[in-house]
Amino acid sequence: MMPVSVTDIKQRFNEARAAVGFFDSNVWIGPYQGPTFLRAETIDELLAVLKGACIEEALVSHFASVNYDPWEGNSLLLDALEGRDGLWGAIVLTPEGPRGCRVGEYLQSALIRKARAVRMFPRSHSFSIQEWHSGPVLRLLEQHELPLILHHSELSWSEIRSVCLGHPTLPVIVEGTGKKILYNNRIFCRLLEDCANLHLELHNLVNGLGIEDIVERFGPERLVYGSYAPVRQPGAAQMAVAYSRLSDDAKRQIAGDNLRRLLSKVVST
Amino acid sequence: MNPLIVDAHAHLGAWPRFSVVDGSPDAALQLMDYLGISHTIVSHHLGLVGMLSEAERLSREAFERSQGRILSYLVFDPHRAQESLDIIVRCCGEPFFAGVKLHPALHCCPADDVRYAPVWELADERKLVVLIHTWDRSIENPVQNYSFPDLLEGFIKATSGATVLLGHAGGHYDGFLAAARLAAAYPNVYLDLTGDDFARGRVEYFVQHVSSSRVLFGSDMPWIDPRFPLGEVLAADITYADRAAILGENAVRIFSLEDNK
Repeated sequence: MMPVSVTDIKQRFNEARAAVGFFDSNVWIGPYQGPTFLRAETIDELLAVLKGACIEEALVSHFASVNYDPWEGNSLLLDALEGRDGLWGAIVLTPEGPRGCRVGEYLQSALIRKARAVRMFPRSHSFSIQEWHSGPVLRLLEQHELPLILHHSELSWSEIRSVCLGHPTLPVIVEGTGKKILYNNRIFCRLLEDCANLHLELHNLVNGLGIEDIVERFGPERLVYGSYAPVRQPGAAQMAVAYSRLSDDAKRQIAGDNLRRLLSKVVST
Repeated sequence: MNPLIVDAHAHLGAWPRFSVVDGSPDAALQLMDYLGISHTIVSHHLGLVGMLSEAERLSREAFERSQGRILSYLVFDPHRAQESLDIIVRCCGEPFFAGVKLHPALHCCPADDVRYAPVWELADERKLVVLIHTWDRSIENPVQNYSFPDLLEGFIKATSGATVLLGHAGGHYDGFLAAARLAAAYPNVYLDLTGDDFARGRVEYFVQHVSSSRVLFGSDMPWIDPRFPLGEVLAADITYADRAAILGENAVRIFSLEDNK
């Protein structure tokens, strides 16, 4: 039950979000292409946003990796992360590596520089996620146990299912960026049943009572906190976790421990 | 219960496009108790799909079952204008009745269409609250173009007696700006924060460019869990007074909830 003054509510909210140890799976630097009320493009500006939201650690991507060139964006990202405690890179890959470099070699060098997850954008980058095109890179990710993060707006749910079932030791995290994911809860709940390696990120997983429902049916291990900061307000999904009707342990898992567990398994050599 | 938090925009019932976890009044009440939400103003989904009398009956039931904590908007359906008006007129002044709901996108009827004129006239005359679904223009979902806030200006200009809530405050960025422009221009226009675009800085923008006295907390439950918009308001860089106004004080004033405790 929430307390009975607005001062108390704010105070309790800050205490609640500080208590569960947020590790944000979905934060960005660089120029966001869309309109926004507040910009935060540099790593220092992003850190200020995260600090204000009591977020201790984060997995960061660079907008230029999506909107300009994966390799150029990844390079800017990994440069920016150097020496920054608590921040890890989610680089962007296509089935082929940069010109003149095999994707395996590229990945190896990125891992040395704090890359700990990979994003792929089949629709925006015009490639197929199916085996005939992306199979080799997906097998590489699987070997390294590198989490693969996908926007549901970038491929079909059947393709997500094929990736999960075809690469059962590859952790897959699906984010609701680009269009409403709430409409897809019949589909993603079925996929959570079928695919033990599928996880859902929270910033747009807004269905009423949805978090409790998923945890009751599939356990807290399948949900991962993400904010899409600095575009979105991190506090929205934080409240959904910190004030969920779940055990403290389940809250901590969703807030950060699930992601910590996934990243701890990454094989960096 | 101290009306500290009021949810000004929610629903009851099922919806075909996704699996509603629980759209019952009991589920709403349990969550309201847990979060300290004193009152929720809903429109039953049945009213949005043409089953107006059934929606009225279930709205009354929800009010009784919740001991006055769940009030209702009744839908004006432009394709069932007379039936809608008859029900709304009959329910005006009843304790469960909180206002009128319009949904131009769902009814495929542009917000400036003349078919809405009778309900605006009624709202002006009876000083009713009118909640309108507003959204940004959309290439992917063009029916949302019918709900762009600018389309409402003619009716708003002509009906200063009504209290107008722009649901979802325009939906996305361009809609947010258009809704804020309307609210800044007309003192009877309010913005509600429902929706799924918790853009960082939008609450602060509304407070700065309109006023915290004209922004309302709302969830859109069971589509959207109230904890998301609540977290957005709690995390926003605004004063305690602004937050108190948005979370509850404005709704208490608009819906006369002090008399309804």
